[in-house]
Amino acid sequence: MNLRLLAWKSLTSRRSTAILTIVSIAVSVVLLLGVEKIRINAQSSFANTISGTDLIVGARSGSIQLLLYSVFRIGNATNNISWKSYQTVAQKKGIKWTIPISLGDSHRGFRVMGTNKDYFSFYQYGQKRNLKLITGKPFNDLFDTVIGSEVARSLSYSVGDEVIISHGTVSTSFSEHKDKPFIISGILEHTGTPVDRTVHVSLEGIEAMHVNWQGLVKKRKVGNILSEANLQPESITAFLIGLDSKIMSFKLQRFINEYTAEPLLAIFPGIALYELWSLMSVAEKALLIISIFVVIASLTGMLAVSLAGLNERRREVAILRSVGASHWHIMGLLITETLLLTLVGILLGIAILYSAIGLGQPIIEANYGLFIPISLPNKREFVMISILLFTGFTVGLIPAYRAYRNSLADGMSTRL
Amino acid sequence: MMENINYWMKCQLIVVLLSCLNMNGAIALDSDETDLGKIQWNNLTPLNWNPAKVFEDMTDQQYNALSDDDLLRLEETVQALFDDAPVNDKLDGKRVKIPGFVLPLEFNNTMLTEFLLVPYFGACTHTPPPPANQIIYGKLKTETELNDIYRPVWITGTLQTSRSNSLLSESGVANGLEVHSAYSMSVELIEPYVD
Repeated sequence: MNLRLLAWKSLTSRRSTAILTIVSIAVSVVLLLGVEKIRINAQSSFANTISGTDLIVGARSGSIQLLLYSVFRIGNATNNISWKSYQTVAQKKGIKWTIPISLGDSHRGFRVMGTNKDYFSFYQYGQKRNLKLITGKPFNDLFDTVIGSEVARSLSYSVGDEVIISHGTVSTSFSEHKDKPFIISGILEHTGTPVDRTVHVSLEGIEAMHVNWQGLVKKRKVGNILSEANLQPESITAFLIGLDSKIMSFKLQRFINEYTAEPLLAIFPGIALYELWSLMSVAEKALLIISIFVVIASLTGMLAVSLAGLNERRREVAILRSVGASHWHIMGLLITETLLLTLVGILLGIAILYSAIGLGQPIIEANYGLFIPISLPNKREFVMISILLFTGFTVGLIPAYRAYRNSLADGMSTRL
Repeated sequence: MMENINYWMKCQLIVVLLSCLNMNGAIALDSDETDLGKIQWNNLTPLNWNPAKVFEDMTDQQYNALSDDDLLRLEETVQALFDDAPVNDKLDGKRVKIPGFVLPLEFNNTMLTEFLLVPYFGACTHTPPPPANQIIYGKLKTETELNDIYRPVWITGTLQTSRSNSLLSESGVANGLEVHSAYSMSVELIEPYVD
């Protein structure tokens, strides 16, 4: 009987402890690889949200904050920037396009973003991919709106539906602008970015929404709201810049950051992303350390079970020895057993992880906007699995050595 | 207070001046020497390019007598020269290795695909932006993991000089004599910097 089969039979004869050991290893594997998957996908989901943009400009605050509110719709702007400053910067030479962004309103928990048609032509995500509409067209009318795929899915909206947009960003706002419904003119293709969770309207639409709204400093007559000239925004939240030449970005960044008429901040999205990752890496490291400790705990559990089993198995070992198994066979048997336990544990862990991702994918995406694809383990994950397997083997050496010593001692003694 | 501002502006200008002097010391390029070879940032500027001439023509007394406005104007003049900085044509199509700092631009998931390489970190919050010929726009042939933007790297790849007229006349200084130009590189390798 070969060693592997023997090890397998031996394990199945002690089914309950073997299964518990496997489960504990599987759980640690789920945790270890799960943390890694979330880390990688959180990073790439951030990285895939913005592409082809050379500078982001907003009110002076911090680079990470500006990146978070302007692109990821996380948190709020400290202040708006004036339309005049936007125009001054946008008319500088060497600028290919700008996309104005106006935030602050919401529709049933989804952020409303005011922008212009350039957004649909120039905004890019992933690897320089443009936005595409699956149905309808970009907004043409003042009260047109284009919604992201997740908004359409979760609220079951389709082109032509009327929506009410409220002021503020909470899900149930008490100050809904009921008198001015917006009509959905288009639905964007799924992007896996915060765009999916955004309701887009024109900048003029944002202004129109607030016409005669209490608290708006400048009151306009409702009758005039359809003439767009009256609705030119006085301020926007931020804007994105694309340049003719990347080399120019330093110079323009300096011009914006030193702009004296208004405190503005221009950031390189790439650097801000990198800073964000560095910030996140602290929490990631903590999670990784926790999962490593869980792995250690599960392997220690396996060792304890294995060592405790040795005493019960003295007879088994003695019988094996009596039918001609050498010390090496006994050692090999025990190492193979622990390796098998580790391997099956790892496989079970991977299976649990992938089915959890498969099941949880839509829920995680709907709630956190984080898309976790089912992908093959990356290099780092392979290394982790290999280390785990090797550690399982090393752990197996301890009971193997004990069994070897025992079998020697048992061979000498007459009493068993 | 005014003196203080003046002091800082002078500091900035001195930094510019120093970097220009460094460039001015560019050595003649031997094509055999640079092919596959290591180059320095001063190799990227043509030999006769000297944006610091305005300062060199000035005596110490003249320099110290400059007002804030004069300094601002001088900075603008130098900046205009920086924007239209010419490139070293000899490097076009050459495979070189050059040290610098990576400024990430584009990612594929978490892997770096495009970046700017600059001679000093941050490149511009404390000093004026580097001249156009001191920035390399790098595109990676195979995406690479970016480990640390705060540490210098060596990059290896093939340099290309590109030209365009579109940005030329912003300052009005270049008068159409020389076209705006820049470096780009098809990057094969990014390695951590070791001397």
